[in-house]
Amino acid sequence: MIVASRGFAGHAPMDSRSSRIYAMTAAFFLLQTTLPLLADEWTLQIIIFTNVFVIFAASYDLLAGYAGLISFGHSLFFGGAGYVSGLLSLHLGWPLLACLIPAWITALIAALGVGYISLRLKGPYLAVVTLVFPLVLANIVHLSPQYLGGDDGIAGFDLLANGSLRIQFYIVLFVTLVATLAVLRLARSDFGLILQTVREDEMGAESIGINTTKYKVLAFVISGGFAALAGTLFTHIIGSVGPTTISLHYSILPVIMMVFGGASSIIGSVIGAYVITFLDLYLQALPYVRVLIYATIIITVLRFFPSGLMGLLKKIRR
Amino acid sequence: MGTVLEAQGLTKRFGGLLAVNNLSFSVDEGRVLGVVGPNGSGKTTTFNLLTGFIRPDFGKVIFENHEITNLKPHRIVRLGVARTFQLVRIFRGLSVYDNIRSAALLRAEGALDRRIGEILSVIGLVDKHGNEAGSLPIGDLKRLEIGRALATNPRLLLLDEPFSGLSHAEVNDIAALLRKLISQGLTVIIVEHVLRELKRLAQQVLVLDFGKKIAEGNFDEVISQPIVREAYLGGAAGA
Repeated sequence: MIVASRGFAGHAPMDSRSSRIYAMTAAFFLLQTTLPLLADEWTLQIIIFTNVFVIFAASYDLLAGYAGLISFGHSLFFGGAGYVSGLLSLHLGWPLLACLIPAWITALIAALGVGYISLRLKGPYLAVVTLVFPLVLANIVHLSPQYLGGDDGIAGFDLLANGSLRIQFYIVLFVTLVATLAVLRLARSDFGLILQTVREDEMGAESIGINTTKYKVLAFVISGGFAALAGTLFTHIIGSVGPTTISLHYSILPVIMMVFGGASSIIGSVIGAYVITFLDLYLQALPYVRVLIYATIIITVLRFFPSGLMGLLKKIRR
Repeated sequence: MGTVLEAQGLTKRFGGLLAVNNLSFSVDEGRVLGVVGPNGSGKTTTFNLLTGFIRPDFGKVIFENHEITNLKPHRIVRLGVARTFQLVRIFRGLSVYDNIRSAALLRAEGALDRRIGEILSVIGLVDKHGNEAGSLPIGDLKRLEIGRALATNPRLLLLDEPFSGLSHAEVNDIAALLRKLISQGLTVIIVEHVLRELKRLAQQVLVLDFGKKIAEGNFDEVISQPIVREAYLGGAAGA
């Protein structure tokens, strides 16, 4: 079987394929700049959320797809960062950007910690351990109604662009474009290759001089950082943050998006984010059916096309 | 000709099992050392001790006058010691090209692609550079793993059973590849069961049994020693 390969000895160079993918991705997001003229507010709102989840899912693919480190606890960074910036805005009244930066830094430090603690774990063991971290945060929140809002969460802090839907749309679109291109660039660089060697065979990677510890922690920090970026945008768009944002639901969403679209392709996760976010919003009224549908999607994908939509497309093209 | 690698009193215990017992030896520059011994005699453990995958309880490993005993595997590779594994540890989901590239990144001096091309042609996998490594037959996998180790530009190469599981033709292929590398002056340590091939490659041989060195020296002399025949063939060897 022929697999993707970088340019070599006159064969179709990977760089031209890469630049085509960057261009297509950029075009996809740039075309959306016309949406505020065409679409109603409800659709615009959905696209805003979808793009937030594109950031979340695409960066999650670096960790889970490329480095093979499955985390079931990314709501810690997504929701945790939302809490930090929401609380700073609410209690200290800082301008939005001044609240976002400490939130991102907190998430990066948390990701460094989680990455380091989970270093020796792989596969289901890693997934289970990462599952615990957001639960701990949720309990802390539960026990602190006074400062952290307890089970009701917190609200009443600054909204992104003071709540202007159109400006929010453009801000999120721009951030998503930059973040997606950055993640794509990382994935298709030698950094991405090194992450994949760690996934394929850790001893083999060590045997060619790769500091696997460093790259595993880096993968956690990068994906955790982007999850925090997505989480803070999300929080300041909906104007509240509560235990739901750090619940299992938001840890599982990027997993489903990645699995549906196809792991270690980034573009697959972008597509997954689109499909699943739309589905998620329409299914919000039916929480139990929602879980069933997600389970069905995961099982069907893993059973019949384990490399997701992108894998299926590749197969068809061949 | 200087000593490239020296092991001094290496000892490793796994629970009640003394896997490597006070083992000392050295390899000179440009030489090939064969390590033989029955299954479970501590050959692979010795390799893991030399390359940092396992830390010894006692003893030292010295590479080119630097002590490397407690260094992490990736640090040891960066100093110039590369290895292969008994069961190949290739990146099966990646292309042949990417397997070599990931290793060549370590020393990206000048044109990376040219270096990768050189390695692929040395191991004879240029035509398969776009193939998924996992789809290759075992002989190609072994060559790819050797190529991947070479891409780190080692001055010492450790090969763990390069001929195991191969057909006769594949053995000849790998042997020819190894002879080419050795003729270029690479220092090599080979763990191997196929004595016929080892004899043609290694000037010196080291025999292990129950983690202890039981013989060392010129291939023919060592292999004909009764203690070696006993260890290899069991009690009936003298008969």
